Amino acid sequence: MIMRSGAPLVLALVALLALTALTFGMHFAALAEPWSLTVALAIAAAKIAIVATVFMELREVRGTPAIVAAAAIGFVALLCFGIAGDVAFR
Amino acid sequence: MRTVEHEAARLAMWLFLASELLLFAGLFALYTGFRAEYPALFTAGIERDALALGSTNTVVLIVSSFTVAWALHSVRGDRRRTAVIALAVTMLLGLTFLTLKGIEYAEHLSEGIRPGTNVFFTLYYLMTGLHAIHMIAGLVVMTWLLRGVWRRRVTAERHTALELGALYWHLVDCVWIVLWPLFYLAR
Repeated sequence: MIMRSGAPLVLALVALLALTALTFGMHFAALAEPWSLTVALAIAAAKIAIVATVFMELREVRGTPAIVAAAAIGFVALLCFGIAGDVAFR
Repeated sequence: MRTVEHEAARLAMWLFLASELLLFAGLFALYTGFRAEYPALFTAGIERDALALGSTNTVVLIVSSFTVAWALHSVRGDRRRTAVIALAVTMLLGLTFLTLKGIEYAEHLSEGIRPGTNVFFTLYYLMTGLHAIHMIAGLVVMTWLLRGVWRRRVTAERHTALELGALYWHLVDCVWIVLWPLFYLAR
């Protein structure tokens, strides 16, 4: 059984709420496409990274589950690049 | 102590999460393709979505991810009562999310916006509806876990089920973190 301080969880919550507020504020910044979506998704990626590393404890996953997680992220990245390339060269 | 059963269960859950991630990634790819094809349609659709409700739901889910993580932290520290409260709050937040989603759907339907109205709203109902189904499944899991913690079946020494249930809940939160800008913000 691993005993941890709850402080990282609280800090992660504060960071997530701050990034959510930032995303909401960016909505009114009137950025041109595609930067509006790009910035919003970049902030979303940062939030997901916080949830994954702090709440899901992804950094402590070892062995086969780590390979599974890495493979899933890799395939999602491959899909994103593929779609971005398809859209960019239409 | 990590048992073989614990490790096998964790692997199974990560495999399941990976499959869910790829399911939603495919839908996000579909969204991207159609958005590139019909940018004006998507901008108009985003303008019609309820920004306040969607944004409130984002905060609700993020806080619920914290509360379920806090429940796990409490169980590990043998603080059963705190864990029960944290899980109950998680469930309350989940129900709040679904209620607000229902209100949003009702508003759209009253305006004649249905699946099939156009590509944007078909994707909206498909992706947020699939997410809502995952939320309902998550609430069933949370109910079972709350019962387990209350009846001391989930303890500091034996809490694999809570770990895995929390992982599922966090994935559902991560999916919404991406859905929110796609359907409510980025125009």
